[in-house]
Amino acid sequence: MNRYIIKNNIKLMCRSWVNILLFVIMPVILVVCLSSAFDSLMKKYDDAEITAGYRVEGDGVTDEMIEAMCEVAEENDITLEEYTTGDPEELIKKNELSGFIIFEEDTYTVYEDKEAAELGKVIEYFVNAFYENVTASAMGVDTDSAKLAVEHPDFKPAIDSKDYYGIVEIIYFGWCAIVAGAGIFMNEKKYKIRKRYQVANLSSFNEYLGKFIPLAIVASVGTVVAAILTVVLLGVHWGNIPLSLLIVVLSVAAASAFGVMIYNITDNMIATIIICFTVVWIMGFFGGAFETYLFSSHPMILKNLSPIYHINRALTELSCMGSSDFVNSSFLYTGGIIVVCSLLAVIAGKIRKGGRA
Amino acid sequence: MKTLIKMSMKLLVRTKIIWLFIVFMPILSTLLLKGNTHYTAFVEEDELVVELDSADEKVAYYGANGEYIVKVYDASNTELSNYLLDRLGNSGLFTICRADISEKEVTDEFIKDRIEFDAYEDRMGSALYIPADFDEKMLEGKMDEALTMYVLSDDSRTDALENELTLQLSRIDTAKDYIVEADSEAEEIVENLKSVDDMTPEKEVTAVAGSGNNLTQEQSDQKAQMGYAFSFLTLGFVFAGFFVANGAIKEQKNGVFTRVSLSKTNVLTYFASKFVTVFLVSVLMTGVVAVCSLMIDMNDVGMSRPVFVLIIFMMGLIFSSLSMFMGIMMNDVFGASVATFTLWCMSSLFSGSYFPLDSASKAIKVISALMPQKWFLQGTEMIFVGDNKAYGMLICITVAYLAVILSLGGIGLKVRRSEEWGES
Repeated sequence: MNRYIIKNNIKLMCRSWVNILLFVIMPVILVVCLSSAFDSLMKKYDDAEITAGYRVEGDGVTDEMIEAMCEVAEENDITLEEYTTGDPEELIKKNELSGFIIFEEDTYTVYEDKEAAELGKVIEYFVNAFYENVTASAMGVDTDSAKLAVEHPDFKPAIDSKDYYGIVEIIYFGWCAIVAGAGIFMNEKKYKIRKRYQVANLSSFNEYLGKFIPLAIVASVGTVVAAILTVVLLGVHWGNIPLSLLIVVLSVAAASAFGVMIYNITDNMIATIIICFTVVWIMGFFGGAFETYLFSSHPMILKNLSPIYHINRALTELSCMGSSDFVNSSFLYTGGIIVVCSLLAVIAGKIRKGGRA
Repeated sequence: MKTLIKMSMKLLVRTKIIWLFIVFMPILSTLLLKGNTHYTAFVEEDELVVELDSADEKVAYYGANGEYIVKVYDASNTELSNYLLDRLGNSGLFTICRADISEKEVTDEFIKDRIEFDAYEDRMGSALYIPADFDEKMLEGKMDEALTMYVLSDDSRTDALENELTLQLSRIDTAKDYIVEADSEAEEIVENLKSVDDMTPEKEVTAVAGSGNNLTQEQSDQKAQMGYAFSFLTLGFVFAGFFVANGAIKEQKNGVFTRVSLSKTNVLTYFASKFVTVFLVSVLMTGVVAVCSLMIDMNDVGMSRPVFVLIIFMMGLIFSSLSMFMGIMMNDVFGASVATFTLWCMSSLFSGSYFPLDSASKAIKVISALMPQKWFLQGTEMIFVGDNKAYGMLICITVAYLAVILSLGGIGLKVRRSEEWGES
């Protein structure tokens, strides 16, 4: 009996393919957009060949000094080119320079391109360090014998914005699992199928399973397809694939249980959708679904309360470090949600049935 | 027209669940807004050394343009340590964020905890710990005990920081030997070194292309707060419009719409009546928001309460009309709810309400310009700096968005209607 309902419901859900498409398409769009927005923030700095222009005005620096500077610059992968005329701003744009230095009497001016500020800073640093080293050696400073206490603690390596959002948005949309079942649950109510269940003497628990299992299966498949799509299209890296897959499936199952519970309590699909979306959005908001959790300054307690935070964190850390302390807590959260929500859903279903009989 | 509006309102008021949302959503939003008290996302720094309010403050956003961030735990805060940090900041490559912990009892445990937090919960190039006995250790020549550097990234600029630190510490070490007198040594070292620094050519930095906004730090915070307020407080309006749409969908399905058309009521009038309903619901919700806003300290938002409520109302109206439009167009409860919610979600994201989009790609910026929140944020910025043109601009924007939504809605309804006639 139960197996038949599950099979039938899966079949019905798959027919409303537009809803399922949402699972697949929406995350892909969001991943593309968000990873672009956060690209420079999360990008790792790479050593690049830097070219900068310079001009000497007045007698501030001697020829020997410039020569020495160019030599040292060359050693540090910075090419200095002399431009005797022209507006620095235009020269930067026209010649794709990362910066421009004008040496004057007692000062020098560094022009930095705002578009590539980090490279401009390298040039600024280089000139500054050059002068400092010159005066330091004049002072007789000996840096070779100096010792500095440097420690290398473990740290979380930088995760690429594409990987981060590629993982996080999949989870976020997985949490909207109820959408996949919305249509058939509505129709079930509309065409009074539930009365027929009653005649068939289907227990509340079985009726719940008849909703939960197909929903979890269809939503998981949709989510996994979306994940595969982002891997193929965008090259998102998932760390430990079997473990990550298990977390994703469990998270969708938790979302399904949560959705069915709300539906059983409210018995109103619109209210269910609104409540689910609001709750999921709030959890996502604190859990790093939009703004990277590393950057956001929400209180830790709110983050820790959000199951999505634990799932996100477990998956992203698996992706960039290969292991995570949050795997256990994410299992705990999803498992807990599945059990508690299932229980409440069955109880709510029972009360409703009792009231009607 | 009047009857139509009356009817819709009556039906809406009878739906119990909408009351829950009209009252509950603004309260929830306000609580969320109040819960978020600290924002770092919009800070733009020009100072050499950024002073952090506390050791807990996150520094990741200071590196929004790829800067190398050094978070400094300064338990010493003497002239010598300040000099060192100034020199590091002055070098140009590093963004120094200093947390003054000289007043605190600093234990090894504390530093260990902080570094672990920095390594896993924040992002930075390196962290520095300057212990309280920094001056003494430097004067004793024990450079390797004077401070500790914690490497927290695999950034190649870490080497430059190490070199710079070594250089500056060696300079202090060398300067120390020049001084014969034993009293007030640290100050004298700093003075000596500063006179040497004066001999090097002075540096000037000019950023080419683009300019930052000219908001003060406080106003930047307020702008961030407004961004959050926009997104939180409009969520309720999105759902309100959706309830109106739900009524319209039902009317179409139950043939009410056909009967309304038969009474020679124009489709546009019908649509307009729905809009007026949305308008009334929005006014109602704004009332609740106004009451809720008593919980918010208006100093955090940086404008007077009536203006704040007015702005929220205009934004809310745009979004509730939009969700109504989507609902009527899609003629499907779920499709519409999902679509509107997604739309709202995306527009909050792309308008830059949560985080700055300055460093995003061109395409994203174009998308961002289409989002109402983006213009409202711009409007609030103008209000902050006392530009009265902002009000006109905001009203124009609201009217423009509404005009687009309403005309699209009216036309769409007509087109769909004739299609359906063809089918039947």
